[in-house]
Amino acid sequence: MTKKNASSRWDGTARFYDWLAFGAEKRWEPAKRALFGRMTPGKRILFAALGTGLDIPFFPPGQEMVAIDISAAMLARAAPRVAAYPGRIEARLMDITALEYPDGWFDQVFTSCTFCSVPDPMAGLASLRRVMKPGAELAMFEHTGSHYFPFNLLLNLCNPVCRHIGPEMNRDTVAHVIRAGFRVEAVNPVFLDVVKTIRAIKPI
Amino acid sequence: MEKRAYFLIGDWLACASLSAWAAWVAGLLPSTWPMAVEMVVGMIVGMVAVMVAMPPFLVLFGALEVMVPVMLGSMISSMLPSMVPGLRQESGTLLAWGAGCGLLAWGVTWMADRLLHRETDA
Repeated sequence: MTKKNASSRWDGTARFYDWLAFGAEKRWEPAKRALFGRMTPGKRILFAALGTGLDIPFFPPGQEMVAIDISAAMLARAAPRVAAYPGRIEARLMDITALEYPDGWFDQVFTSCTFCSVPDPMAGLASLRRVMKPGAELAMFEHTGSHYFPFNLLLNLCNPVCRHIGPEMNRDTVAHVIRAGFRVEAVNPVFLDVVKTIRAIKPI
Repeated sequence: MEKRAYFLIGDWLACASLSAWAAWVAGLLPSTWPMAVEMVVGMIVGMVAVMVAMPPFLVLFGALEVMVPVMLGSMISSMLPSMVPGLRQESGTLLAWGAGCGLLAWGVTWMADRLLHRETDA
């Protein structure tokens, strides 16, 4: 999928997204709150990708961050949540593979169900690594493929359908993170080894 | 795995009803086909039927990735009519067996999740 296709697909989904994600957001709320609780005041924080801002209520109050998304329609839907956040969020239309920030700019980077949908995950991770300071933290909430039978078989079987209507179901995001040059500190399963939080560091 | 009642009940409901649905749809295939062919076609047809019926459960109870036990249950239940031809006669029995497959798949997933968490916590 090209960058333009990805953008127009999410633009098209924006109108229904909050409704579609109702159950998922409720289900993952505790794990997301725990992960986003790592946001530290005074640090330069990047959040990718913001979507319609459904994750904003799970952010600890008082943070200052940049939040990007590839879809203008998603960001337009996120605007009221951005405005209501008790802190400061600068929402920007930006592709994760072409971040408009200098090298070594951010102290913390957060992602939420991002790398199942980025068309080129290695390019996305390389781009994040570039804008992170040495020693900066990458904290991810992602769903991936499974290493265990029969779950891996099921996810592989449904991927050809799912990738056309939504996310990729069988990516090995932890391996991608390692391959992109990060040092993985912790991988915590949320549901099987499919939904997980990943914490990694850009080596000094 | 989920401990909140809303999601537990939702998972059971999704697993039981969608696996029963897959079994029922697979049971509509002709019983004159060779068993192996019917098993494979039944599984494909059953899983497609589940994909079509899944969206309301996705919206209410979670994302595609948590539908893994549903897919496992429906994969097994959609092969039931070919493996146990007698079940075709009684659609109530077929639905009950299908629902049972779904709940069994939920149980297997629950146990796998517990084991994985124990490994990670250790």
